[in-house]
Amino acid sequence: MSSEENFKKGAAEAIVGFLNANVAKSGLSNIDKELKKDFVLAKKRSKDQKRRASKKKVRCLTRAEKKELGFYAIPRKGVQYKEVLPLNKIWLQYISEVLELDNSIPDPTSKAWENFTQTLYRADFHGSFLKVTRSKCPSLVDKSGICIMDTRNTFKIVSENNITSTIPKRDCVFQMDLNKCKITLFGKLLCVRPAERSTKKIKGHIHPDL
Amino acid sequence: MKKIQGNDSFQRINYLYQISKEIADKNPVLSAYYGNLFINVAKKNVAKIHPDIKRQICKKCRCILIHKVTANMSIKKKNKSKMVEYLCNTCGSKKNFPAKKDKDYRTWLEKPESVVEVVS
Ligand SMILES: [Zn+2]
Repeated sequence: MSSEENFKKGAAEAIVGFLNANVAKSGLSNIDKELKKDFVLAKKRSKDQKRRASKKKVRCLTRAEKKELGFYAIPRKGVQYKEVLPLNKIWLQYISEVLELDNSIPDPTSKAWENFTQTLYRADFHGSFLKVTRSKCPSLVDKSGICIMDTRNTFKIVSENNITSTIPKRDCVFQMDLNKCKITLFGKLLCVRPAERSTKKIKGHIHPDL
Repeated sequence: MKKIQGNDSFQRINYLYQISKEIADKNPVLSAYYGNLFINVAKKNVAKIHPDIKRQICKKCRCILIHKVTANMSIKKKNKSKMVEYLCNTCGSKKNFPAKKDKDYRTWLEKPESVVEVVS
């Protein structure tokens, strides 16, 4: 530190000496004035920038802060099955309202079928009771539980023995349990972020390959 | 029933709001996750959230604010005017609402003359 300061002082002296030696005689008296000029605008601008930065900070949580509060890691035994049962009840009401299950389910060959799948695709899956029927990973087969989190590539489900597990969507086939009927979902087609899914369109018929 | 544009997203927002409120006392983290999700759904669909719902979520962590469960409500005086203040227990941010006696704080959406048609 001290050596650096010394170096700066030396440099400043060298500049003053150089100017004294080379500037024309009429300008000699102005050298000191010119050197001590401070730039008014420069200082002001830096203050402004600081204020702007502090204003922006209040808006929302940063990723690090969220992590500190435990937003991303849900512990393996942190959620009780009893706690999420009411979600399932509300979800059954919601899904029967969205899909209009009171009417009969349309025939797969009719035109209404396309509408039906579209609304199902746009519906929400939080709180649904999911069961893995087929999977590339044999240890995941026959796992069942209530879905509490839906990310781009995974479902987080709470099973009846209070264990939270993460299941990748891509290589699994799920079965959804409604009161009247059962719906088979191919996880491969659901690999979209939950918020974006509500605006996207799917093709009418896609051949499953698993 | 008449078809309304964007009806399924409104139903979805409504549902997410309900489960966010349901789980708030047991797991505020999940409540914040659902709150965050329905705001994102509304953003994606360019739909507006009703001010009644909007007042109930924390603006920082998007958790539902319920008095004595996930937040603490208190009344404070500031420059001779009273304020209702919510303090979020999850992230610690404050939300203020002005509360003067002789003033009408309803927004346009909450006034009866804003309703054009009721579809059921
Ligand atoms: Zn908060």
